[in-house]
Formats: sequence, structure tokens, C-alpha cells
Amino acid sequence: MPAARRVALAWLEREQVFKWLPFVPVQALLVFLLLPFVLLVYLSLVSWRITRGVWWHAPFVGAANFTVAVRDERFVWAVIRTFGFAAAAVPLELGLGFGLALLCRERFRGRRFYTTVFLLPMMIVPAVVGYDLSMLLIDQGPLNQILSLLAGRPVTVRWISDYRMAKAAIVGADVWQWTSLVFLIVLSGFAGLPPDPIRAARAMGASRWQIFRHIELPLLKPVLAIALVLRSMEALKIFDYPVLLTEGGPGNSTETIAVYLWRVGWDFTRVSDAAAMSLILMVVVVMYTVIAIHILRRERRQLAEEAAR
Amino acid sequence: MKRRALLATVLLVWSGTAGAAEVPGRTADERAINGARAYMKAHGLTSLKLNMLTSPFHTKALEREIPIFEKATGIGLGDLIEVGILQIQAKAMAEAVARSGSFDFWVGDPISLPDTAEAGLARPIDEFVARGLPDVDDVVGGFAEQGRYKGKTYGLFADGDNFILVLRKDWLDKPDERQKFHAKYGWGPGCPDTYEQWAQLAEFFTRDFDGDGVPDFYGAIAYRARSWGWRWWLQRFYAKGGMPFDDAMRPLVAGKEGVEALRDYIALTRYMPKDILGWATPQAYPFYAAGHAFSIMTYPSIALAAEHPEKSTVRGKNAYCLVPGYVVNGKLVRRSIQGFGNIFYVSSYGKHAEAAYWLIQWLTSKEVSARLVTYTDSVFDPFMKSHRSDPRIIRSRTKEMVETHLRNAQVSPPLILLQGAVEYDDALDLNIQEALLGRISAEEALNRTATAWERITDQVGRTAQIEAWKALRRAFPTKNVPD
Repeated sequence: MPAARRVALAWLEREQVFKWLPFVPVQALLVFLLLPFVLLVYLSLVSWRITRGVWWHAPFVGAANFTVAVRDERFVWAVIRTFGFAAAAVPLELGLGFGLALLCRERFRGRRFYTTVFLLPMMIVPAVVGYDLSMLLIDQGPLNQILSLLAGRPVTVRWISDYRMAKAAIVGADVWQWTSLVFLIVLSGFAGLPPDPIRAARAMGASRWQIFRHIELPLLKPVLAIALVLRSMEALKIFDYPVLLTEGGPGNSTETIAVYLWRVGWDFTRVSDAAAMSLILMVVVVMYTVIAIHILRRERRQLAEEAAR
Repeated sequence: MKRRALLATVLLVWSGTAGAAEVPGRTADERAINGARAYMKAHGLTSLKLNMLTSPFHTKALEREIPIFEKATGIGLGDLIEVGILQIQAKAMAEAVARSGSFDFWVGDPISLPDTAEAGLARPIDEFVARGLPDVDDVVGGFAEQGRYKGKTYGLFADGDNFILVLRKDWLDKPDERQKFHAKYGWGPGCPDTYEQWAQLAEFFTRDFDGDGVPDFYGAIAYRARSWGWRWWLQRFYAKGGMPFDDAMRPLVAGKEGVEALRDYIALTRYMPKDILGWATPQAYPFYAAGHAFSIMTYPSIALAAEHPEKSTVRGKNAYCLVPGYVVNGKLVRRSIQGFGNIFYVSSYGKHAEAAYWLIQWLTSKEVSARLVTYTDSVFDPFMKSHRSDPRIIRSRTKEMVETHLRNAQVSPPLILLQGAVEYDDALDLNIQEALLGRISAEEALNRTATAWERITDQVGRTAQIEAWKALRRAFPTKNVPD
């Protein structure tokens, strides 16, 4: 055995080295994930526009970009508006997705067909949904025509040109597409329910409502919490529909955080301002996620305690 | 040693001179082909694929034409990167940061030129222009100037997007309608000279045939959607004699001209569909071509939709008009704004900038541009004097349209082509929409715009902006009305 190889093997066999070696890929991955974040923090502390030379020569300005961000009325409103969209869309998606899963949980003729149809919206590219809806939702568009047929009189809802209705259109688009995901998650939750407690309750004469209310629903809580966290985080990043349906308008009624950040960074070339805004948003979303995870853990703990009893 | 240095100097001077020599060829397209062949030979290439960034509005025509260039030179189209027409700036800016060379050239509007030039993405092409002599002298009005920034040429103009007004001739020709209109307004209906006359036409021809309170035939169409509508206001503002900035880059939009123009702009929407705040080309063109409106003020490519042999119900029923104006100090001032416009730019980060230049010179030559303008499935609009008499273009758009459009181009002011242009425009657009929605007054909208513009100018750098603004003023028309 060559001397160099012997030395290398001896080095690898040392306890200190062997203990740390398996974690090298993890650390590399951590660095890989952290690098963009570090860059984001750096950019938020300097004053750089894309039109102003290279970013590593940009002057340091400290927290000035953060001050600009919190004083920017448009940014603050975009944050409030985005949380508003999420607060409207996510409960609707949860309710509808849960309801559809409830209908499709048991076997019946055509179940596969309905399940496939309910999952279809999720498989369409959001940009396509946005573009299609922009054609469907004009005054003379098919949606108003259907509403007119149903109402038996001309109905003209100004879906994308009215300040309030445009918000509803964006929420509607999100609900239309992402109820599928909640449906899928809850349907999997139903499929994974343990059969024994349900059988036992049935044997003890519990009604279907009692079984649902006192056994199935508590068991599904963690699944619902996951659906809530996933959808909320996604809804806070809503981008495609406002851009394609309304360009953030009319006025700025549908300008979400993602749309505004994209404008500030790429259209207005103010990358440092966009970086500061992104970090503020990240802190808000992390806070929300931590609270949601805390609730999820509490639910699991309670469930485990009840099972133990 | 001295002799070697002398020989090297002579060689350098010689090669420099040879490099600057004009490329042979009678026409710009011939020179482009010869230049491309020489480039391929000098680099030992037989085939070269160039990547292009464009909006889908131009793809089909370019996909049809570039293979012809490839056959002649070996330079063809590689990857085609398509993004929405309003997303070109963002995509270009991402490339300015990434410097990936993912596209060699792109089709973009003049608005993005200052930012892409300052960011180093748009490559100056003066050295190639000097050798290739593109057909810039044939470009009408101040269009060619829109491919220049701070004294350098960055792009070749390819799309004359100044607005045109189209009226329904068949309605204008109805004797009873003419009589009633004359009795009401005191002039015979036809192409309006002023915005006030256009409003009268719009009012008169708005019709509610079934009496349900919702018009079935609208008097006017113009874009009011977010990111689009401000252009229609800016055109009115220019016709009022307004200028966006003074010599110190202090905003002038909130003055009397701006407020009056905005009030008129808002007032006209009462003759448009109620959801006009969501309308741009995809909604407006089919609506007009389906015969639902009496008039439309829009891009010249409306003629392709309105005169379409199969899809249009109003083919041959259109009157193409000069854009109306305002009477300022007793004189009529018409302005037909360059509402978008497209320019071919060469990327600094592509590997074959010169090859990309020869391709864009070929595409913007008299002959090839005429073919691009003729195609009905893309939206290159006439921009050269020679397009006026080109039978192919006349066939797809009508003689009246082409002549009127090129006359409009004589009084076509540019958009605000300064660094930060997209942000200036966005601030204006947002406040105009708020005024349209009735959430703020016209005065408030323009005051807010002026405040935002001041901030943008200070952020970009006032001194640099003053210089750029002085240079841009050369691109404004000097005539009040076209010849």
C-alpha cells in the first residue's frame, strides 16, 4: 500500500474525523441554501440599482432601505392586501376542499371520474389560468352570460375593472385552482384514518354525525393544519393572477407583495429596496409559520394524550 | 525592437481601418448578408444559431423571415424566449444581472432602452452601423432617434406604433345619421380635428338598441387598463402643449394642461364599455372588429384586425383618421404618441454580437421590414417612407390607413425615455387609474404623480436625468399638424 494512501486511511479512521465526515454534505447543503439569503441581506444593506454598476461596488447604507420600505405606503398596503387575499381565499379553499373530499371519501359509481375532475385545476399552469380568466371575466364574457342565463335578466359584474370585484376575481381564481390541493390532502387524510375506533363507535351505536364529529374530525386535525399552513404560505406569494388578470389594477387594488416586489426589483431596477422589502416580508411569514407549526404540534400532542387515555 | 513596434502599429491601424470599412452591397439587406457572410468566414463558422427574446406578438413573422437569412448566411434562430409584452423589461434586467448570454438580441420597446443601456445589457452598435449603413434615413419622424441614448445608437427601429383613430365609415355615410348629427353639433360628422369633436361623435353614436340601459354600440374605445392607459393621457397632454419636465427635471404634469387633459380623458370613458379599466389589445381589437364600437383610438395594427378577411365584420367599413388635437393659442396641435414601438437590440452578453447586428440590420431593411409589416399574424407596423407605397402592406392594411398612419408619425412624440422610465410611467398610470375610479380628483392624481416623479429623479440622479432629458427633447416633433 502506498504511503500516501496509508496516511489518508489513518486520518479517516481517527474518531474526530469520522464523527464529522457524514455531516459534510449536510453542511454543504446548508451553505448552498444560506448563500442566497446572505446575498439578500447584503443587498438590503447597500444602495444598488441594476443600472448602477456591479453590486459589490455599491455603497453601504445600513438600515436606510428598511426605512424606505416601511415608509413606502404602497408596500405597506401590498402587505395588508396580500394577507387579506390569503384570509379570504384559504378558508374558502379549506371549506370547499374538505367538503369535496367528504363527498368522495366513500366508494360510489363514478368516484374516480369526479376525483380526477376535482384534481384537474391544480395541474394547470397558473399563468394559463390567469390568461384564460382575463378573457372569461370581461363584461361581455362567458361568465356574465352564464350568470344572466341563471338570473333570467342581464347581469353585468365588472370582475376585473371594479375596485372591489377585481379583488374577488383574484380570490376566486386562487380558490378555483387550489381547492384541488386541499381536496387531495384531506382525501389522503380520510384514507389514512384508523378503522378500529370508527368500527368500535359504530358497534356502540354512534350515529354517522357523532362518528364524524367526535372521531374523524379530531383525527383529521393535523392533516387540516398541514393544508392550512401550506395554502397560507402559497397564498401569501400570490403573483400570477394579479399580473395576468389585472396587472395589479384597477388602481392598485390587486397589487400583492409579490407583484410589487417584482416591480420594484426588476421593472424599477431598485434591487436593494426590493431586498429590504423581501426580508421584512420574510420575517412576517416566518412569524406566521412558527405560530402555525406551534398550533399543529399542540394538536398532535392533544391527540396523542387522548389516544393514551 | 523599434522596427517590430512600428510594424505592429501599422498592422493595428490597417486592421482598424479595414474593420471600419463599409460592407459592400447596394441595399441594406444585401450589406447585412455580406457582412454576416464575412463574419462567418472570419470566424470559421458554417452555421450559427442566435437566441432571441421577444413577445409573442412578433414571433410568427420573425420565425418566417429568419430562415431566409439563415439560408443566405448560415446564421439562424436558436432558442426563442417568449415573454409577455410588458415583461420584456423585467426579463432584460434579469439578464443584465445574470450576464448569462441566454439571448443574443431582443425585440423591446424604447422605454426600456435607458435602463438596459445603463445596466450594460444593450450594446452600442455604432461601429456596425458605420459599416453596414442600415436604412435609418428611410425611417419616418423621430423614430430612429428612439434607438439612441446619450449620443450612442443601441438599436434599430422596427415598429411604428404611433396611435391612429379609426371610425366606422358606414355609419358616417348614413344620410339620416349625418343630418341628425349636423343638426345637433353644427358640423358634418367625419374625422375629428379636436378631442372635443371626437367626444361629440362618441356621444352621438353610442346606441342602446334594446333599451335595457346598457349600450349595444359604443361611441369610443381606447385603452384604460393598468399599465396601458397612461399612454392615451400622455398623448392628450402633449397635444395640450404640455411637457413632462422643465429644464431642471421638475415635473410639469400637474399644471393646467395636465389636469384638463385628464378630465377629458376620464369624461370620454362614459361612451366606452363599463369595464374599460380592464381593457387592452386582447379585448379591444376583437370588440371593434366584431362591430360593437363606432370608433377606436389605438395602435396601427388595429387595421390588421379591422380589415381581416375572415375575422372582421367591419372590413372595408373603416375611416382612418389623423389623431385629433387641441387648439392651443389659436392653433391646432395634433400629437400621435409612439404608444409602444419596438426596436431590435443587441445584447452585450451574447457571444456573437456582430452576427446579431447583421441579422437585425437585415430585418429592419426596407425590403424585409416591408414583409414583416405585411404579415397579419404579427404586429410590426409601418415605420418607413417606403412602406407608404408598398403594395403588400397596402393590401393588408388599405392605402388610406398606411398614408394616414405615416402622416400621424410626423407629429409623433416619444414616451418618457429616461432612466427609470418604467417607474415614472407606473406612478403616472397608477394615479390616473385612481382618478378614473373616482377615488381621487384629477388634480390630486397629478400632484401625487409629480411628487413620485421628484422622488424617482432624485433616486436616479438629477444631474444625469437633466442631461438625458435635454437630449430626448430633440426627438419631439416641431410641427403642430402633419403635412
